[in-house]
Parts: sequence; structure tokens; C-alpha cells
Amino acid sequence: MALLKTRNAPAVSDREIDTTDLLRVEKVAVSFTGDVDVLSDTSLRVDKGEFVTLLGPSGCGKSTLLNMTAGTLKPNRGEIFFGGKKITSVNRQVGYVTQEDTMLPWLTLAANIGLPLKMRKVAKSEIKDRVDELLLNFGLDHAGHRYPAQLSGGMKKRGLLARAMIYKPELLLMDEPFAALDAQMRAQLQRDLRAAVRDTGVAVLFVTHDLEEAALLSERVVVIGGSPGHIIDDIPIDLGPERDPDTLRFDEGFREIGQTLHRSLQRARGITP
Amino acid sequence: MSTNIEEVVTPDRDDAVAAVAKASMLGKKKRQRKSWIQTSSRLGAVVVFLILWSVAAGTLVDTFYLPEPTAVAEEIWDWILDGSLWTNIMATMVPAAQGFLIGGISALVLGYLFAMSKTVSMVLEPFVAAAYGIPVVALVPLLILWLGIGRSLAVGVSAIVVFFLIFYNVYFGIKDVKQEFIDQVRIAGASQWDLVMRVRLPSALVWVVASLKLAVPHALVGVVVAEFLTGSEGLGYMLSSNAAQFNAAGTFASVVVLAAISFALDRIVFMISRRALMWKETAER
Repeated sequence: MALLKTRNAPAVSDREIDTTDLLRVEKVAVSFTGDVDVLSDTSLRVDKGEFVTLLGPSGCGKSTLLNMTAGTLKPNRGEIFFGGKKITSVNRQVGYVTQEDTMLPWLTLAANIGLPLKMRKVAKSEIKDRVDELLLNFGLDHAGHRYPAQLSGGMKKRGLLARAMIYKPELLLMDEPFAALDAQMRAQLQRDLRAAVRDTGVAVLFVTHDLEEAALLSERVVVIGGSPGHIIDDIPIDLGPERDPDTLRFDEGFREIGQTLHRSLQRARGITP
Repeated sequence: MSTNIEEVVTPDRDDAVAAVAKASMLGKKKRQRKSWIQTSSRLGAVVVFLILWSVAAGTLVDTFYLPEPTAVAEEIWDWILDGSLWTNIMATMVPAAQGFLIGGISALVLGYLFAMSKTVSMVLEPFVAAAYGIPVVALVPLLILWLGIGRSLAVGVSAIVVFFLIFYNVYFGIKDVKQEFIDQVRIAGASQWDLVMRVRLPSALVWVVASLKLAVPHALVGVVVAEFLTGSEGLGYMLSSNAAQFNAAGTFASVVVLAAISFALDRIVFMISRRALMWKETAER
């Protein structure tokens, strides 16, 4: 599937030169009910065009970190900067995809994908062009007129990804987006996502508790764990930008990375090897 | 009819699309035939009912209690000729429409306020619930005191009935929207106005449309009850005055007219809701 080939192609090669940080989380702490912190003293940096995965057991504060980046949650202590500016309200410069199906059921797939541009007051003809382009890139061109209830889980997920990317955000926040899909669909969407990232140069902050998914997709894996949650490890994944999940699974280097991640995840769960 | 395009690999997709289109066309024909059978069998039931009625009237039951269908038809024909049918229909429908609008709009506004403001709903919810439990007929004497007898009373009764039928649907419909939904639409660029117009109200609309099936005929019921009790015109008055004069044919004729109107209203609501909930319908097929 050819994904978004036309846009922002050189971003990948620029990545090494362009070291400006996109997201900077500084000594952030959050507690929901008062005294016990969910997340404490956490600092994190995501560069432009970088694919970073937050890996860790459930309830360690991964999603909390995403919500703060999206501006829908405020930290109790610490600060978060996006593109050099402190986040104080809802952050409209990011795209957000979760496990949940958040398509508006009364709008067609095409209308759903075009909705962000419509709300950003973009001209109708331009919206139509962009929607058509994205539908085509995500292999959904035959389904634009359908309502979400008529779509399969995988189609919906690709639609949600298209909706999150249509306004060309610099950062995609993805909270276990593929968790509810079957293995085959999941592998397909991981390929689609990699291709979209390669073609647009968008940075991704991805949350998962699946070790293999983390290794397959990202350039850096940040392992979070403990109670209160904090960063345990920051592991670079040197597998290059071109990745074929089908062959990579049997690659020796990939297995080593898997073992490293596994050990780190054990520590995150509080099990000392 | 659920050929899933997703499962078909790309080169064959055009064929698949064509197959789906063909299947849906065949389905349409099938549905058309089905609806024709439905309509004709319903008409058949009416005919059978009329025959049974005309056999029973005068033989099994005295025409004082059960008039001949032809006598009822004659009565309606007379009303059409002297114009009283139209005047009475309008005398009922206009206040019903007014009551429906007043009740519906205030239900929309208050339902929205209740759903959006925790303070408002916390303080006032028990009172609304208590008011909901009062039979509307019990409020009529109070309304007479406030509105007098006549059209404004009819409008008032119907507005109250409609209000309660729609209010809770708006309230729950808007509360039903998940926070995650709202958050994502906000990140995608929604203003507060967008949230109301594009997410909250459409989400409540599903519930409101469902409640219309009850609210629209009940707007009529409200007016008829008011006319029945105090009116000097309208369908409710027609009914009560004919009954008071022991005119069985006239009483039956009034009931037939009311039945015809409620049938027509039900069809209109059905059509509106099918249009508004098209996205749901297509999914269920």
C-alpha cells in the first residue's frame, strides 16, 4: 500500500541534522486522588520526526503522559513544552488515536476524516481533495460514503489514523491503538503506520504494553514502571527507517533487542532478574 | 448482503464493488416487493374489519351502540361538505403544533442545561422527577386557573406532556457522550460551539428522535384532553359533544378522524426519524 508518498518526503534524511526538540516533558508528577502519585519526577524528550514508544505494565502512567501532552490533563508538578511553548490548554498541534472507536457514527467515513479541517475552517474544495488523497493512501477509497457501523475494525482504525493526520500534526499520540485488533490486521496496520511515518516525517509517541510491537515500530523505547511510575530505561532501537516486520521477526539483532526490552520490562514490573 | 470488501484483495476489488452494488440493488427490489405485500395485506385487514363491522351492526348489536359503517362515513362526508371537519382539525392541530414546539424547545434547552451543569442538575433533578410523576390531567385545573379555558389551555397541556417526554431524552442523550470522545474532537480542533453542534446535540438527537414517536401523538392527546374537558371547538370537542347527544355515528366518526390523523402523524415521524437515523439504519441492514 502506497501511503502518503507525496507529502514531506525529505523529513527522514533531515532527521539527523535537525535536532530541535518537539516535545519536552520536565520533571512532571501527577496524582489523581490526592497524595499518591501516579507518575513522579518524569522527564522525556521527543525530537522532530522521532518514533518513541512508551512501554510498561498497565497502570504505570503511560496514558497519563499522553493525555498531558494532548493538554487534556494538567500535571500537578512540572512542565510540558511542545514546539518550545508550554502546554496550558488542549494541544491542537497533535493527532490523537486511541484504542477506542471515536468515529462520529452519524457522519460518513469521508466526513469523519474531513472533520478536523472543517472545524479549522479550511475551504470545502481543499477538504475534499485532502480527504480523497488520504482515503486513497489508506486504501479506503471505496468506503468514503459508508457510515462507521458499516466498516470493519481495521478500516475504522485506518480512518481514525487518517483523521488524526489530515491536519498534518507534527506529533501523533497513539494509545495502544491496535490492541483490539486480530494479529493479521494488527501487522497490516503496523506496516501502514511505519509507511505513513516514513512518508510524512511525523513524530510519534506510541503507548503499548506489547514488547514486540514496541521493538518493531520505534526508534527509541522508553520503559516506564514502578509505583509511582517513573522512567526505568531509555533504549535506542537501531533497526533503521526501512523495516519489514515479516522478516524482522526472525532477525538476530531484533531478538537481542527483544531480550533487552524483556529484562527492562521485568524490572519495570518489579521483578529483579 | 454483507459482502465485506475489506477481505477482498486489491486486483479483484472492482469486481467486489460491483458485486456489492448488484447485491444491494437486488435487495432493494426485494424490499420493494416486501413493502407492497405489507401494504396490501394491511388494506385487506381494514376491508375484513369493515365487513365484519357492517355485518354486526344492526344484527348482533343495536345501531344505537354500534352504527353502520356507512352511517359513520355519511357523517364524515357531511362534515367535509359543511366545512366543519377542516375547521375542527385546524382548531386541534394548531394548538398541538404550538404545544409541541414550546414543550420541545424548552425540553431541549433545559435538558442541555441539566446535562452540562452539575449544579443545576443536582439542585433541580428531584423536582423535575417529582413533576414528571404527576398525571397531566391533575394539572388541568391549575392550568385553567392560569390560562383560562380555550386554546391557550390546550397549548399548555400539550406543551407539558411533550416537555416531559423529550426532556429526559435530551438530558441522557447529552450526558451519554463519553469524555474521550469530547477530548479527541477538541484536539482535532473543535471549539465549544463545534462540540455542541457537532457532537453533543447530534448524539442526543438519536434519543430525541426516538422520543418523537411518543411525543408527537401525545401533543395531540394533550390538546384533545383539554378540548374534551373545556373546549368549544376542535376534535376533542366534536367527540364529547356527539357523545353527549347520544349520536353514535358522530362519535364513531370523530374517533375515525382522530385515528386517521394519528396514523398520518406516525407516518410523518417515521419518515423523519428514518431520514435522521439513516446512518443507524444502513448499519443494521
